[in-house]
Amino acid sequence: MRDEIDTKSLRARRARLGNRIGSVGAAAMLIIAISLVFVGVYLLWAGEATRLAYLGLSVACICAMLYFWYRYDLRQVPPHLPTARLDDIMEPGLLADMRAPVTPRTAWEAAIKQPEARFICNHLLMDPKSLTSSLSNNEQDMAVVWRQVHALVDTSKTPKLHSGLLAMSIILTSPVAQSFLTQNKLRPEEAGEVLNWLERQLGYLEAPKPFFGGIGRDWAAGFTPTLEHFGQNISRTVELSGGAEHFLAHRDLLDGVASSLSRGNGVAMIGADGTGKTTFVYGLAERLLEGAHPSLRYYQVVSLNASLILSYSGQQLEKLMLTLFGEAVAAGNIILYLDEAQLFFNSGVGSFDMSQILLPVLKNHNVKIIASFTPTDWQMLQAQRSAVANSFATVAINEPNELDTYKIVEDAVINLEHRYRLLISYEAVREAYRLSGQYMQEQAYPGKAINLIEQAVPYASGNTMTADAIQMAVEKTKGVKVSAAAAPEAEMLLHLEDSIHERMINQKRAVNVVASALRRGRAGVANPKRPVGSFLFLGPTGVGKTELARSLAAVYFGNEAQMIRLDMSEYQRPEDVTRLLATGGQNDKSLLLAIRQQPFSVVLLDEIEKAHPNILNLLLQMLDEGQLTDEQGRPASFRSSIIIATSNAGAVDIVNHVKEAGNLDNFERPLIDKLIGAGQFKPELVNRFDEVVLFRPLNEDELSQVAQVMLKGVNQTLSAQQIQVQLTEAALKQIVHQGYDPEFGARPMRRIIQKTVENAVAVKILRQEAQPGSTIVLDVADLTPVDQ
Amino acid sequence: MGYNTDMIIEMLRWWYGTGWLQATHRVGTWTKGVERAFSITLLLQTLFAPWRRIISAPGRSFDDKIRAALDNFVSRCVGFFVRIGVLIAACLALLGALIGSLIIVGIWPLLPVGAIFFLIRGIIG
Repeated sequence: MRDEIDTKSLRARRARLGNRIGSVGAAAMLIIAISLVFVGVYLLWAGEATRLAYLGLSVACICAMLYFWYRYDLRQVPPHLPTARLDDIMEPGLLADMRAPVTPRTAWEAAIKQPEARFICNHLLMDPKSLTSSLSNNEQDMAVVWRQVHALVDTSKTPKLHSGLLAMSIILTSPVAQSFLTQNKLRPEEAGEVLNWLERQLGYLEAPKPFFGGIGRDWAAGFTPTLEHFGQNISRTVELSGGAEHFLAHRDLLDGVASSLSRGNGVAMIGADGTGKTTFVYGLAERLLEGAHPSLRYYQVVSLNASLILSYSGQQLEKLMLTLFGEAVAAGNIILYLDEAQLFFNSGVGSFDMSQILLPVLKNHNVKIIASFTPTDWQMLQAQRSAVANSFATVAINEPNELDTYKIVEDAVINLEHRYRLLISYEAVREAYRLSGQYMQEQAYPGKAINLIEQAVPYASGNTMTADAIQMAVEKTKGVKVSAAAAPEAEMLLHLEDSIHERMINQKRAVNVVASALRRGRAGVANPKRPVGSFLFLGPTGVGKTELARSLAAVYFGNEAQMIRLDMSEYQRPEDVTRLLATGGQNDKSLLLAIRQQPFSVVLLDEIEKAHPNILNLLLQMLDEGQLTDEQGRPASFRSSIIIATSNAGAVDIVNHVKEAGNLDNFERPLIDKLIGAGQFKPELVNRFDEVVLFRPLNEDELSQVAQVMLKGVNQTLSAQQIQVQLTEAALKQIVHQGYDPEFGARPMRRIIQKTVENAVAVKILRQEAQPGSTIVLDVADLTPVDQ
Repeated sequence: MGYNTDMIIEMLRWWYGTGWLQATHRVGTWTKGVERAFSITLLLQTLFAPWRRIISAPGRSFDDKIRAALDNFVSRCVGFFVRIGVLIAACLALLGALIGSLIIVGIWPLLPVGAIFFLIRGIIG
């Protein structure tokens, strides 16, 4: 095939004529033809104006011929075979708009008039007109475009040159379009995926409509009034929609399931939420309606409404189930679908053992049943009612691979676009895939990506959904930050150390490593499959380890409450593992429950060395993979959190080293080796932290600053009464002296300030010695604690 | 002028070639469409089946057996008459589709000739 097109070829002229006539013109010709035939025949019969009647009939014949020519030839203008040039396979609408000389610009202008090219531009968020002026108007420059067209046609399933393919070729060969793609973080092959998406949709449109049986189809089957009431007829839904126009991931399993059903076996589909179990059943229903399996031809798949059925209880429920099964047997063309089948087996108030009814039905092969289970539910059924579980033939509905997931999500997007009347861009689809993978681990693909897109609908700006809407949906529903840091936040991140030091005295290295981790996480540099940062803080008590975690939660995460604090001394027994991983709402010590509620937080594991080794082994997974799995097998993500573990181990060594050397430079490694050697930490745990940070004891000057920071807190409280408090130098020295304990560091400081400063201020306020606008100056004499 | 002549020739070439062939194919398409819409094969296969599977289970006593047989006979009669009624309608539709499509196939080659004939009659009176 030659790299050129002939805009004057016969096929091109036919395409232009078809374009001029159009569907409206063709319909008008048909109406004129029919009208003229009636009028002409009447006039001839009446013997009036016979010449006019003949002329009218002549025109009617010409109109009819033009109508048929348009209807069966000009509208499609079939490809010219054998193909010699590209115009032989060019889609007629596009060919009709092609004008010589063909340059990248004129070809682009012709392409963007067609819906296929607009599909490409819209889903790439590209303004077609803005690209026009940047394109070359030189005929010679089309050579590279035609080469690209050839490459795409060769990989295309349908050798047809439509406007989408031409537009994509121009985009892939235009430097301006390339830079647009780069700005939108799209690689050329990802842009090419939009072309695959388009071609799949064109394939659905061009595929012959399935035939689902005529008017007498169901006359040999019985009536099912109870099933109509308590179920949803999936086959009827498929029939009304005219057949599914989407990619079916587990198509290869359909024949096996149909064979099992035709032998009378119940089928249990086992797959995580979102893998497409219900979609698979819709696919099966369509296949049976098409008559693909003679023994199950025209069978109807009816999904039982569990919530409606289970609103009955006891004997009523038993009677209802017997009626439903009885109707299915009597009708002779029913397959029952139990979605979330575990609901039917759960024991609750007023419930009865469904297996007593279901087991004989399954054993006798009376009713054809498909039941869907999550892997956990299936394990429960096997453990609790093994006889029922063993009666089912099992089919695993696994998560599809990435390529198939994209196909399913893209097809679903077309439906969502119609339903919500908006355009969902390809970058939104890609972002939904990425973020749902990261933050919706309790569900499986493709369901979670589709759910995320639906959740993002309210955040779409105008009629277009971009990646921003997806990010916003994740931020709102999951409480994490995923969008790029805006200017104020970026500024704050760049100066995070300063903000933390407003609350935190010294420990510069610790503050710096934590701030750097957060910057890496927010800039998207950190590994997304691990926590934002993980640190082991070692040092004596009362030097600011916990305070740093608290400051970080307050300064960056917005609130001190954004900190999940676990005292690991409460997890010293092997059975505490269950408590840590519990998912029940009554357990307020469950780490997984807390992280699911606020995934964007600081996780503080205090006194980690006191936890049981089994718990420490669990933490290895958390630090390594950024997730833990609960007792039901569902993962909980720590990938948006900062993990801080604190320990007093080695505190004496730190104090002694500071006394000897004056600082802790290069002391981390020897200390860690010593602690590992002493068996206080396992090397695999220590090595999994991003950093081990040593906290040194505070000196007197720093303790004075701590006291001043705490005094600032007191002043903040008093600001509501317009009163301020100050300490004389001697008073400050006394507080520093009283507030420092060699064993507990600065920990007693807060209590001392409360006992001295706050008490003294309270007395002065009550004695009305402090008026709004005044400053209370406290000296040593004022600071006598009331309990002394 | 050359353009119009080319297009007229192109239309006539299609009309007496692919177009006419397609028209003959439509005879089969239309009749098959009627057969499918009325599910004629299925109706013939189930012509004597009970109407919507409304059947009575035979009891133990002779009277019950007779009553059940009578009920089932009635159900089969209802099914038969409904289906035969639809089959008659289907036959009529099939006939209509066949005649209609054959008329088109027959008239198809005459249409261009008719246009010229009526034009000449219109001019010369």
